[in-house]
Amino acid sequence: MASRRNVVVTGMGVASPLGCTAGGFWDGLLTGRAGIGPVTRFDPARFACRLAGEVDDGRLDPVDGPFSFEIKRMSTFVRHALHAAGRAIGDSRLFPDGRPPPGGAVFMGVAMGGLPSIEAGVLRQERHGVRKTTPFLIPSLIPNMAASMIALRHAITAPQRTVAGACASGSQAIGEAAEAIRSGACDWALAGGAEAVTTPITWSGFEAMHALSPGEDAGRAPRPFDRARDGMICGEGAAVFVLEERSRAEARGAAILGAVGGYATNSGCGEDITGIAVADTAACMAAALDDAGLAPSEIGCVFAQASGMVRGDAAELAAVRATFGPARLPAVTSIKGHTGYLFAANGPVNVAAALLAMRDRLVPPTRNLDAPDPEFGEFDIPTAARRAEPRHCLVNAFGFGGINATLVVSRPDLS
Amino acid sequence: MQDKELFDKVVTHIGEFIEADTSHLTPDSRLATSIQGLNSLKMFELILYLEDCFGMSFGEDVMDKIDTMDDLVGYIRERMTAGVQPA
Repeated sequence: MASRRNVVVTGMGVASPLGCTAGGFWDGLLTGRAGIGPVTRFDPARFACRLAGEVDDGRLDPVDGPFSFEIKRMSTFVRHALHAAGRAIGDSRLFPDGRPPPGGAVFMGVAMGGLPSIEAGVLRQERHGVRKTTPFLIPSLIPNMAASMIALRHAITAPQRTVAGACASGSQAIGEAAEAIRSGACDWALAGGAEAVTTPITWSGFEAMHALSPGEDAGRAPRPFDRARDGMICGEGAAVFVLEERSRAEARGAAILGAVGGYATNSGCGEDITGIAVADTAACMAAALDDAGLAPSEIGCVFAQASGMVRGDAAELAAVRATFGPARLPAVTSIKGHTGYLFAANGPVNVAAALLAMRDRLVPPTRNLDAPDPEFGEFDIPTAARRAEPRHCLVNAFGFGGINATLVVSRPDLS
Repeated sequence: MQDKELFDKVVTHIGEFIEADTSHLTPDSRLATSIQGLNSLKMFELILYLEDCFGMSFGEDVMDKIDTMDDLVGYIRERMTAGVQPA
């Protein structure tokens, strides 16, 4: 029987509220730095929530070169995606002469895409008239522009795919890329997710759902798993990875950062279209473990979706309990207290954290967890960076509409 | 404003817009072929940009009337003379 084609990570790029390098992001996680601050992209005075996890665009790589004119007119998520993809490609050394090798693909997950461009376009039309609408409005806002601009910028003529799976989009993109490599449909892929929707209509929508934390102290919100958690803080970010078939990566002498060994996605959210259903998310985690060929006890840490929502955090931990059993619970951590909620980038940025955790044998803390909800007493949730030996990590991402996705990532020497 | 002065001003604004040197442009330069990378979307946005620069509104038929730089400068001159205000 032919052995399964294994998928490894050979490049990583991050744009996050903690910084726009993988090192800066990781340092921020370990030291418990807050990437949350006052909203600067618009005046939030009319809203109860005035905090966000914004990316410092001044730290993005410059966009000189092909399509720089168009890139400047794209919605912000595209520039974050391009930064992360450029860093991942450079990290991987996969394009030694600047040209992509054959056998590739691009998979990107984007949920809300160009919402800021849509809102700005509507306002401009109302204030200045229909004729003043920029002809770049539609190209700037369509969600595929993250994948498309990555392909155009790097002269990738291979297939591209954009996954619109709400906040599971980025994880689904990585999972689909891994499956494509496993199946032989491609040998390498750029895969990840991007989101940047810091715009008033986002705040209106989520405040209407009572989903945003009204906390005013940027150093104290959001508070995943805490008894005083009171909602999420919106963040921005992107993470993109170069995935390769293992033997090919080893043959070219690539530095292997980790492996993507398991993936599962399913549907179900009970009766609440924005909710997290314990049975369905537990089934998703179990299926990802099965796909990876791992027993629950082999997972060293769960990188949770946990955003600081009262019911969502509780449902996810109940699903972890159902999946692992009360006697074998792994460590669970959430980075949302550092970065805010990154929507389609939730999963990919968590994958970056998980890979770095396994590299450095450290589990990053859950920030702002002062008094864990008594309901979560049985869980091991680090509040400071902790020395550990995670060999495999599980990454959750769940999206509105009952889209659940779980990835299993492993140390470089394991698949 | 003298024709040369207006021509130079249009050239400068086009250069600002496309972020490139446009000093090679002459009155006979064809817009579609003399400005590197000026595809249709950029051309449509250039029109909006020039409207803002000159504080005027161009007609819906502007694209049919401007082939060369001379056409564009003449079109702007005509709108200035007619006192066309922003829409």
